[in-house]
This record gives sequence, C-alpha cells and structure tokens, in this order.
Amino acid sequence: MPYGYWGKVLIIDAEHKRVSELNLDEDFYRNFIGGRPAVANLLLSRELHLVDPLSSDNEIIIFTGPLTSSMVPGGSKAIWAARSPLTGGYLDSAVGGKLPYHLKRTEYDGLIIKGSSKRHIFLEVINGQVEFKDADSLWGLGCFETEEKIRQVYGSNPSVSCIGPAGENKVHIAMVHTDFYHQVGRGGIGAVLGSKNIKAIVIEGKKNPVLYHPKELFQRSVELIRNRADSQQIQFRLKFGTLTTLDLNQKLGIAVGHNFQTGIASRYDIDMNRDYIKEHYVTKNLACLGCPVPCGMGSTIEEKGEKTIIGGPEYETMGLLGTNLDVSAEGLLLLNRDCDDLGLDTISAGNILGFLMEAQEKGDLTPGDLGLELKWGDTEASRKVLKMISERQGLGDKLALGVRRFAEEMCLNQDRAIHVKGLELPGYDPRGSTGTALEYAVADRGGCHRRARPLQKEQEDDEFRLAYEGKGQYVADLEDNRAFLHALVLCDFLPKRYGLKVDELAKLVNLATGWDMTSEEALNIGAKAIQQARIFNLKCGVTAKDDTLPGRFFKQALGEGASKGFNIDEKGFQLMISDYYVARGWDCNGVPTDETLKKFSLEGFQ
Amino acid sequence: MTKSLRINLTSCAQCGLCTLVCAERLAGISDLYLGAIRVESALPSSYKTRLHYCLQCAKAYCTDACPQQALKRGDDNVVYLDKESCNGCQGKYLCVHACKYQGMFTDSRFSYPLKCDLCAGEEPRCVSICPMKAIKLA
Repeated sequence: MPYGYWGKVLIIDAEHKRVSELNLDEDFYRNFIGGRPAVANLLLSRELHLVDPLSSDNEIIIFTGPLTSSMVPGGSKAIWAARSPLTGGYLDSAVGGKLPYHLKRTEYDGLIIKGSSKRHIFLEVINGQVEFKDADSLWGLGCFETEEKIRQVYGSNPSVSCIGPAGENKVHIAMVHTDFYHQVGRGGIGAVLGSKNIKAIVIEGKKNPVLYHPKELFQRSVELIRNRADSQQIQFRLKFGTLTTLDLNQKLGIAVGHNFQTGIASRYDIDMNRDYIKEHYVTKNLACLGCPVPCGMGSTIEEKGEKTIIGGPEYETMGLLGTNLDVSAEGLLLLNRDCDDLGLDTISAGNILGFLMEAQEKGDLTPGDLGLELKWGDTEASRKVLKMISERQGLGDKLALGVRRFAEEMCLNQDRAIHVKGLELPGYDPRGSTGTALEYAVADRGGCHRRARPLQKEQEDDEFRLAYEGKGQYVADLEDNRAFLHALVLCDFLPKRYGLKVDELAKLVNLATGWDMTSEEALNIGAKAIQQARIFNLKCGVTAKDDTLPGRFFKQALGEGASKGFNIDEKGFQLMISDYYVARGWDCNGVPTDETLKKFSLEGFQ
Repeated sequence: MTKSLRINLTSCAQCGLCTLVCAERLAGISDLYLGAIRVESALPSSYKTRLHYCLQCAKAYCTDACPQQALKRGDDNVVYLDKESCNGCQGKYLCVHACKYQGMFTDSRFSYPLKCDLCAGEEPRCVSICPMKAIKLA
C-alpha cells in the first residue's frame, strides 16, 4: 500500500446491494495522484461514455487525494464525477464540508456508486462497512430537513450528503447538498444520485491513512497556518468570503446583469454589495472541516416571523440569482435558500430564471406559457419557478433540462441561452475578459470559472484583459496548475493565500507519499487530467464544435459599465481557440494528436 | 486562580482545527475523535455551537472519582492525568462519567481518557490555531 493512500476504491452496487473493491497500485497514484486526473481516468477505463447519464449504468465516482484532510491548508476537498446528464459529457465537481475528511478515513481512497436501487435508500458507509438503509421516510423532503433527520440518528460528526426534490425528480441541474452549506453543485450530479434512488450518503471514518512523514507534514502545515493567520488577504477572506468578487467584477464591468446583457449589478449601491449583506444578514463564518480560512457566510433572515438560516451567499450565487435577476439582497438570500433546500445548482438556476425573464420581457414567452408573470427583480415569482423546476410541474418539466435544451425544445432564441456545452455560465461576463471567454469555451465540464482564472493577471492590465493574442498558452498553463491542485485535492482559494506554488506543493505531496515528485511531473499530471477529460468528451460526442460561447457574446456588446461596447470578436476568438489547441497538442479539430497521446501515455484510450 | 479555556461560541466557525491539533499532541495524529476539545454543531437547524473540553474545575469531580489517583491537580492548578497510573477503570472510565460538563473523552484506540491539560504550560495549541481567535486562555 503506497504511503498517503489506501490503494483501493470501494464499489457500492445499489442495485444488487453488494460491495466490492477496486485495487489500484502505486503506478496508478503516481500517474494520476488523485482527484480530477484519477476520476477522469476511471471514467474512461470504466467506459462511462457508453452509458445514458440517468440510467442505472452510470456511476458516481468520488475521489480524494494524498493531501486530503492532511492539515495542509485547503485540503478539505474531494471530487465527485460522472457522465453529466446536463452536458452529456465529462463532469467533475468538488465539495468540502466534512465529507473529504471522513471519506479519506474509510480505508478507501474513493467510492464508486453503481446501479440503481429499486426502492428508496440511503447509504451508510462507516469505517468502510456499507449498509443500505430504507429512505422512504426521507423521500420528498428538502435537503435541510433530510440532513437534520439523519443527524438526529448519527449526530454532528459524520458527513451527510443528500439530494432534495430536484435530485429525486432527476432535474438536470440538481446538486448534492453536503454537510450544510456545501454543495456538489454543477452538472446535475444530484440527478444521477436520484436516478439511483439514493436519497443520502452518510460517511464516517476513523482509520487514519499512513503517511510517509506525518510529523513533518503536520508541523509544516501548522507553521503555515499560524504564520499567515493575520495576513491581510486571509483576514479579508474571513470577513467577506467570496462576496468581494463583485467589487472587482463591477469595477471591470463584467458582473452579470439581466441575463448577461448589462455587465453591472444595478443594485450595487443599494443593497447588493458585501458591506450591506455582511451587516444585515451574515451571522456566522462557516468552515469546511479542518480549514484555517472559514470563508463560508452563514446568514439569517426573518420570513413570516420566523428566523431562517442560510448557507451563503457566496459570489456565484450572488451573481446569478442576485445581480443577474436584479432582485434585492433579501430576495437573493431567499432564492439561495430555496435552491439549497430544493437541491438546485444556484448558478444554473439563476441562468434559467434570467433567460425566462428576458424571454417574457421580449415577448418570446408569455406569462400564460409559464403560468405566471416573471419580471426582473421579482423574487416571489422566481421562487415559484424554482419549485416548478424541482418538481417538474408544467413548463418546469422542460426547464429542468437546463437552459440549452429548454431553448432548443421551445424554439427560443438560443443566442440568449447562456451556457457552454450545456452548462450554464457563472458570474463573470466574458466580453470584458478574453481569457475568461477562452476558459469558458474550452472547459471540459462546460462553462466553468474554476479551471484557470485568467483574470488573475488580466485585472492588472486592461490591454492584456481584452487581447486575443497570447491567451491560448496562458489559459492552458493556468489550467494545468489548477488541475494539479484538484488532484491533491486542494481548495482553489488557499494555496495562493499561503504562498504555496507548485514546487512547494510537490514537496508536501512527497512528505505524504515518500515520492520525489518534481513540479514538472506535477503539472504534467494536471495536464493529463485535461487530456483525459477531452478524450472522454470526444467519445461522448462533445467536440470542437462545442468549444464556443453563446451567440450573445459575439453579436451583442455589453450595455453598461466599464466594459460597455465590448463584444467577442469572432476572428480573435478563433485565434485563441487555435492557439489553445496548439498549446494542448490537439489538431485543428480539437483532437489530441498521436504524439500528444503518446506523451501522456494515453494511447489506450484512442 | 485556575486557568482554563474561554471560548467565544458566537465566533466559532466549527472548523474543528482545535480538535485536530489537540489530537496530534495527545495521540500523535490529527484525528477528529482523539482531541480533548470537541465541537458539536447543531447545523442545519441552528448556528448554535457547543464546545466540550475540560474546565479545570476548582472542585474537580473527575479527581474524586478516580480510584487510582491518576488525576491530580498540579501546582499550576491544572488537572493532569498520569497515564501510567490510569487503567481506564477496566473500561468503566469513572472520571469521564463523573465529569458534569462532558469535558473528558474516550476512544477504543486508547486505554486512558483524553483530557485537556492546557498543553502542560506551553501555549495551548487550540488557542494558537483557531482562525476565528475564538479560544483564549483565561
């Protein structure tokens, strides 16, 4: 058994109520480390591109890494993966909470959940022992009540992941709620769990993995935490969480407004800003287990005379459900809570609501079509639509398929359906950041802001922010770096705040594993995650034609704010795509060349 | 005057770092179930947090309950456990049950209870690690 790992994955067959093990040797871990590269490899080797995403043949793969729950700052994450019902292609989604800690201590490096149960069940995975429990009494409940009821039996220590009505009804934008406030948000993984008739997963582990140099890894981690505790960056993060992102986006004119038409948050000076939300609603910081920067905002609002607690908001939710729809801060919190309870991804849900509001405003869809009038800023009507989607009532049945398929099936203007590869876009308008435009277009799981973050350098240099030249290699390099973090599995937010660059992280991996990993090897494994995901997508029929952006960004300039008048230039965009393909070693059709496959030892997946 | 930990429960973000660093000192591994300070969350129904730890009580029920006299108050007024003398009362852990504040813990991997000794004179680890600065020695 390699240091830092258990050398095996637990396979849970929900259909036959059996468990088995998949043994993985040290070569596997040295080649893929864990997290994203590992799940991408398993999706390919288990041929999940051949399955219908919502059939019993699809599998959910949950994987940790060598630094998961090791005390290294940010090691409180795990990766979930499956073939996505929303995009039809590759999907991974990270989550924190208590799950990574407990999963790493089950004596397994990950779980594979296969098959569909005939009855409603929840899984109890305690120290690697699996029980298939009856979930009839939980079926139909919202995420909060489900977690609460489970915790009445299991207490506050274990990890509890569950789905709400959206997951049960196989809504394609359904998420998995984990340990209050945390979500496996993107791509409809909640629908995959629902299709297996699994309401929840309780995980508790007490077996500690054997590390190569545990004392030194611990001491190094604790030193880092203590030395940086009072840094401005960390204190700022503790104070506002991710809410400060709106300040930058508003300044650059790349906030989202009115279904990606304006580039600004119109209520920024009223209540849609970090200070107002912090002062009026945020009650408490909330943390992932073992995280030294508890950046979660726990809020409280009063509704009908009763206090309701809300995990959030964080920036993406603030962007898509808040600024995008022009609702008040209180409206944002209510929509945030509803999505979390119903089990809907807030990014995707906000996009769908924005699309509907614009469609009604422009007369493409009548209030009669939807069953209600839906105007910008209307929280209560939005809440009704969220319920319709999660319960698939009326037009909600079609909305549940995501904005791309809804627009297609209703023959509505697809330029206004804001997605890439079917995954709805997050809270950065790409017209004011060409790097973000490229990041969205080529991201393996579809429109995603967590693969590169090109704004890091762009925000300091307006010329570079709007340039098309030099972006291909730039985004590819950032992606490799991020994919390495997601192999370990580390939170995106923390390494930078602790000054942890790739070489330093590789040293920490070596303390856990006893390896002699270099930064070059580390980044190569990051790149391998992206190559494998690309191959998986190609096998799913997600190809170069899908490496694009919604028509709106090419045809319509931003209407307001600092990036007013900018749109994406077709030729410039194609230049970025071509440069990116070259940087990745792909041919002009976006297919990895034989040489590239050989370089990454992926010829077997051709 | 007895020193003990003072905790601002409103600030506590329930990250559990206090437990993990404490466990590393007591048991050599950062383990959620081996620390002498434990966080109990009421989420998702409420933000209420409870922290369980030894209060170094002036009248310590644990010392009175110990048949081996393994729990003794030191010159610094901290109650220390002499692991050599402790036999866990053959699994009965009388001290743990005598504590009225759920401030001592057991785990099947250890034959003695897990108890806070304020890091035996050094700066308590939980105090220095807490990102919310919610734990103080007073």
